[in-house]
Formats: sequence, C-alpha cells, structure tokens
Amino acid sequence: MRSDGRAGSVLSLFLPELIRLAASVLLGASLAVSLGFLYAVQREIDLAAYSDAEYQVRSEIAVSPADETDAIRDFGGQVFLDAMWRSRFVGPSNAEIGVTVVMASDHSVESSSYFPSSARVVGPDPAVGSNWVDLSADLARSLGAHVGDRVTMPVPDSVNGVEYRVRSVYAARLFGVQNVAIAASAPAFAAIPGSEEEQFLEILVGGKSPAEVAQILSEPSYKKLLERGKTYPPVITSRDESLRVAEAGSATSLALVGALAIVAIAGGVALVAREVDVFRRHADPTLMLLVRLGVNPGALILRLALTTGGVLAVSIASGCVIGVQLFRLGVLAPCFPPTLLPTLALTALVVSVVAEVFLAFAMRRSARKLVER
Amino acid sequence: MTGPVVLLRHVRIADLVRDLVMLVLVGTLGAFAMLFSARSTFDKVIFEAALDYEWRSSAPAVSDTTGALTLEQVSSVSVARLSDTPTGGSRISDFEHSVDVPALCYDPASATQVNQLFAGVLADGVLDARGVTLDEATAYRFGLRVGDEVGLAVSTNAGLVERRYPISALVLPYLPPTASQSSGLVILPQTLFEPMRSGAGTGTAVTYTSTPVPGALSHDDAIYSAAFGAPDLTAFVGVVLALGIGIWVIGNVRAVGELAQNLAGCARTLFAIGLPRWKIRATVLLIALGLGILAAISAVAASAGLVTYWASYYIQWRETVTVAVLLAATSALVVIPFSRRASRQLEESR
Repeated sequence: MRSDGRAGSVLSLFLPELIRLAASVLLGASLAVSLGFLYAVQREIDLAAYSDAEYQVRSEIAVSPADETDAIRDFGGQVFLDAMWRSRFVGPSNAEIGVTVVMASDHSVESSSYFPSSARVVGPDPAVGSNWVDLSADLARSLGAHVGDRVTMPVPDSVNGVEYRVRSVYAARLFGVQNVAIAASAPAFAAIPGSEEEQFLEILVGGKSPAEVAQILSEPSYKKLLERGKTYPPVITSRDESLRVAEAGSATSLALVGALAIVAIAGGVALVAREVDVFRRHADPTLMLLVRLGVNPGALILRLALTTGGVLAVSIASGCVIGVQLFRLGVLAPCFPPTLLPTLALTALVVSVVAEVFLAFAMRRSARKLVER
Repeated sequence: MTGPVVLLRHVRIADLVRDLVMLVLVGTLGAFAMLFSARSTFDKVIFEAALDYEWRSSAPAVSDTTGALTLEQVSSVSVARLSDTPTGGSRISDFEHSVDVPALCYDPASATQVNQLFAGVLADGVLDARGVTLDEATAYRFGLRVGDEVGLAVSTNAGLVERRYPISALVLPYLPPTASQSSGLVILPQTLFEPMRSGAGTGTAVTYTSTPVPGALSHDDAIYSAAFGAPDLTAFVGVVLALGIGIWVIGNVRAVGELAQNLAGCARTLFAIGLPRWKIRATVLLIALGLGILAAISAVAASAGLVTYWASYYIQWRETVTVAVLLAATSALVVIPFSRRASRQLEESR
C-alpha cells in the first residue's frame, strides 16, 4: 500500500510530458476533425432533403387551399402539400436575401416535408405560432436569424410585408440551393393580393409508390385540374431518384468524402501513435529512477498507463468538440449536421481505442525494460 | 567533415522514419484539403492572369478601337467523348454523359489575335481553325488529348444538333471569373460552330482591347475579382489553408523538437571538443529541412494522386507544386528558429 501511494504521488513528475501529450493530441484531433469532415458536412447538407426525408414520392399536383384536406385524405394522410415560390426575406440584420420558399399547406404532415427532423440543428421554438418559418442553415446564417427571431417577406405595394417567426433551423438544401425556407402558407395567402387564386402545385407523399400516386392523380378530379395547368401527365419522382440527381449535382462526391476521411483518420492515428511513443521514451528514465528509489514498478506502470489513457481519451474527445465548434463558427460550413454526430462519435471511439492499444504496447515495453534492468 | 558525420551517425533512424511517416500522413491530410478547396480560385486566377489583354468589355468592338478582338460567348455547349461507330458518326446516347460548358467562338480571320490572347493559357497544341480547343479539366474528365475527336452538341427546338471535331489544343482549366458552378471551356472558330447554331441564337459579345472603352473591365480588376470576387469562398479557402498549414506546423514542431533533443548530447560533446557552432547548426538544419521537404513532397504527391485518381477531380500540376512549395517553406520557417535555439543552448553549455 505504501509503495502504491508513492506511485500515485510521483505521477506529478510526468506532468510536463502529459501536458505536452495532451496539447499535441488535442490540437491534432481538432484539426483532423475539421479537415476530415470538411466535405462530408457539405455533402450531408446537400443530400439531407433526399437521403433522410420521410416522403417516398414527389409529384406535381394542382389543389386549392379549400380542397387540401380532401387531397391529404386521398393520398393516405402522410402528405406534404406545398407551392414553391421565389421570394425575398429580410432578417434581423436587415440583410435582404433571395429565397426559395416552400409554402406549406396548413394540414400537411411536417415529417413528410423536405426538411427531415433528423437534420434539425436548433428548434422547434414552442412559442412560435401559426406564422412559422423553418430556415435552411445557410439562409439562417445569411439573414443573421436565430430561432424565435422575426423575418419579413416583402410584399409589392405593401409597407409591412408578411411577418414570420423562425421556428427551427435545418442542415438541408434543395438541389444545391442554399437559401431555402419552408413557411406556413396561410399568412402569405392572407397578405398578398390575389393569392386567393393560389394553388398547391407540389405534393410529397409517404408510404406510397410512384405508381400508386400516378393512379390517384389519374382520377378525374385531379386530372382535370392538372390538364388545366397543362401539367398532365404530372412529373412523378421517387425520393431515390431525387437523391441520385442531388448526388450528381453536389459539389462533393462520395469518393472525395471517403478519401479525405481515411486520410484524416490515418493522419490522426499517426500523430497519436507518434506522441505515445515519444511520451514513453521520455518517461522511461524517470520510471527507472523511481523504481531504483523503491517505488513498486507494477503499480507505477499501471497508474501511469491509466492516467495517460485518460488524458488521451479526454484529449481526443475534446479535440472532436473543438473541431465541431470550428464548423459552428460558420466559415467552413453553415453548421455541423446532427446526422453526422454519430459518425464523429464512432470515429473518435475507434481512434481512442487504437490510441489506448498503442499506449498498452508502449507501457508493456517500459515494464519489460524495468524488469530487465 | 568528421564532426557533421558523427552528428549524422547519432540520428536514430527509427525515430526519423517514425516522424517521416507521421509528417507524410499529416501533410497528406492538410495538402488534400488545401488542393481541393483552393482549386477553383487557383484555376480562375491563373487563367485570368495568363490572358493577354488590357481591357475587357461585354459589348461588341467599338469601331474606333484599333486592334480590338471580339469573341462570341455561347453560354452552354455539351461536350462528350464519342464512342466509335462504324460510320464515323456519333450517337445521341454519348451525350447522356456530357458536360455543359461555355464556348468562345472566334472569327478565323482574327486567328493571330486569338493566338496572342490565349498564348499564356495554352497547355498543349496550337489554336487551329480546323479544330476545337478544350480546357484541361474537361479533357481529363473524358480522357481526351490533342488529336482526338470530341463531340459537341447544342440543344435546339429540333433536338440535339451534334458534331464531331478534332481537338487542336488544350488550355488551362477554366472557371468563369464570377462565382459559378459551371466550369470548362471550348474555343472554336465560328465556321465550326455555324452548323450547330440553328436555334441556339447568338451569344454574348466579349471584346478584348488595348485601350479602355466605356464600361470596360481592366485586366488587373478581372484578376482581383477572380481572387476575391466571392467573399464567402475567399474566407472558406483562407480558413482551410490555415487549418492545413496548422496541422503541418504541429507535425513539424513535434518532429524537429524531438530531433534537436536527440542530437543535443552529441552536439554538446562535439562543440566542447572544438567543432564550430555553425557546422553543428547547419547539420541539424539540413537534417530537419531534409525531413520536412521530403515529407512535403511525398504528402503533396499522395494527396494530388488521391484527388486526381481516386476522387477523379482535375488538379493542375501548377497548384500541386504551389502547395508543395508552401509546405516546404512552412517547414523551413519552423526549423530555423529551432536550430537557433539549439545553437544558443550550445553557447550556454560552454
């Protein structure tokens, strides 16, 4: 027990080396995360509306707001009805930004929209009422808007415009378009002159195949309206098809993302392995001296290994957190998508385990040296 | 020479190899991100800077502007690699894998001026009125070289009008000076574009002159716009460069620090027995610089290979060399202060 206690107290002799190890691993991990996830983040944001969304089919349609409940019932309930507008938003920073606005019908099922709940970065704000708007992370950053803030959609010949409040922010884009919003259609329809003639021209349907959607749209009530708008037969696209188009249009390919991730993991592991080796070399003479002075070698090595292992794990985890924060500053990307957090956590775990294995080998080598001498 | 040789013999090869491997991997990560992120800005700036003109105007030539060269810019022409057909014609299916690039059409009568304008950006071949000129990135994408044939197509009301032409030259990778996703370029004489013109209408006139005309953009302003015209992109590239260099600096600091520490004992002994300080410093400096430069070259070569052959994106060799020089210079900036510190320690030990 006495020697165990001494083994514990003498660990302070290794403090400078431990600090050096922690600083190098922390800096290395944060830079490796920010560089390794550089394009994975962009790709995730580009594809979230197609890879993680819950709708299965997208189609053209023509439905007036008065008939929306009937349409939702006809398509099985898991439906998002909308009209896509090109407009402008003014945010808290008074920046006026061109926006693609998806005007959602009141009775749409929000989980079937383009913004999947898994890609929600912040929100929803329960205090936001019927004048809600959900923003893409790119748009929120451009507008300087946060959850709960007011954003205005200017209306020609009107002083006030349509006022919305930000309910949530999502890590998603539509076919590479960065500034996207999904908004309640009722405030816009009420404020814009002539918008009572507006129709919902797009439908996102969950739980049905393209053929089933085509079948419903061939019914006379829908066919007539579509023919009037010269959109019959409608363009019906499965989500998988949209995903393929979005992948082709994304500035980053899977090969690029994969290559950068592998290089980042290899670089991070090499740096950690090297630091562990240097730590062992620097620690060996002190260990030798302490054993000669009567400290129990087994207890000393065990305590040093546990302490160093803890330092490594905390440094790698902290490095990952700093790496994520670099994304949240907004220069590398508008946000860090929540859908990538499990991947990051798994990567950090794997690198930590590899680092601990390196450390175990290093400590075993030190112990052998102590025994031999 | 004995002293430096003794110092060299005291270098632990295993440690040096370990640090070299670490530096190469860390450098590959930094260089990969830097090469890919900076490539569009690099391509824009290099192309714009290499064009030979003083003023550029998006209007037809003014009659009193002597020596003005006006090109017709067509916004979109489809480029595809054609499969071999028994008749030598092309297949519409070839254009399923085409890319749409902007085109510049010139009057064959002004071939001399055109050659002068593009002389700096010419990468291979000669601008010739019998063939078309492609940018390197588009040619790389389809595995095309000078002398090969390429399919060009324009979408008209009557469908796709396509032609097969030989490639007479390649120019540097091209991106429009303003921020745009569409990259690539085809330069061709109007005589070759004419058969595809049906329905395509007329393009925009771009005039290059040596004297300013109202509304013209100077060459210097065009280069500045290519470099800093998109503030978001400029900030992104700047931060990626900083992160890439940051991880490289960490690797270098750790490797050089360890090297200096390993050689300190031997260096002190050699200094005590009369070896001049500058020889010790120069030897340590050369070993550390050698390590840094070797790692920089290996890392940039590995990352350029990954970007080009694995991820299939085209990277100019000029950019690869620029990043390698940047990393090597950073290594030198890290090594020199370390060698100075080691030198001071020798003085103090006396």
